[in-house]
Amino acid sequence: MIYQATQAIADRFEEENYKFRISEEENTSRVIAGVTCDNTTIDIHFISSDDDNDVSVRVFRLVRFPEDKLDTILRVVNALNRQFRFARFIVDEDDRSVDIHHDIQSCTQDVGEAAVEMFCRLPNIADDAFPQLMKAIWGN
Amino acid sequence: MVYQATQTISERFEEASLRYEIHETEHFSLLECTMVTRHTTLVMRFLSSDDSNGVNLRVSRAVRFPQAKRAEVLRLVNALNCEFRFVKFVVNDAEHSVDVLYDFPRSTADAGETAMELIGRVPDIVDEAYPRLMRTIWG
Repeated sequence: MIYQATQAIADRFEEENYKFRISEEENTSRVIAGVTCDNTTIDIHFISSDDDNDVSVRVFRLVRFPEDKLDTILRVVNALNRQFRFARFIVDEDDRSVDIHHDIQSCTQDVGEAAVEMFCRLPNIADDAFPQLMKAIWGN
Repeated sequence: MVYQATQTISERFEEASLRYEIHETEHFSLLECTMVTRHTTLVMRFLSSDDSNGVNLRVSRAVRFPQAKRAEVLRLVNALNCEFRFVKFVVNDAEHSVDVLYDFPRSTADAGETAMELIGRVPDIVDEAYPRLMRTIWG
């Protein structure tokens, strides 16, 4: 089923002429919007698992890294978490990837507006973070 | 000066009979509220630097740790960031501490209501994380 926040976000993205698609699974529904930045391309997922306005915003696999870079990446991710507001960078150790998370609060009155704000912010954040992560992975 | 979101949050806290203090400087105003949990005491600071609803929530020094434990704490902080929604745990290297952060989107319609939701969530999150941090630091 498509939860109400997914519909609200989709309606708002239509108004803004953003390209997106809707995906529904057994327990979740999501809006997925792709953005091409200067340094990379990301898909931003707006995921709902109930009819509240509590939406999980996720950018999966911003980068992947080899196992021997784990300690370095943890340090860089912490520095990114200190540097950037709104985004929470996390290291998925099983997947050896860095994801970006943001959670929209359930008390949010206009989830569409909050999603637009994140749609505008996260690509810039991802694009600024990407070179720092790449240097950590591929640099000397 | 006291920015409007600080005022809004304080009014909501008054309604809820929560204890708080307001501090103001030339560039920001903040509302500070102390929460006592099962394992620790945390000071939650809601900072505003303009009249938008873009408020920064900061819990500074949730724990402190010796330099020798930095690598382990960093790994645990990442695990906590994977596990818990809404807030962000960060290692503050200058202070050898773990801080907890949340930033209100500017599109937040009701800063008071959002602050109340965080007053409900953040102490529980920190209280769950605290024993794990302590075991990592002292175990």
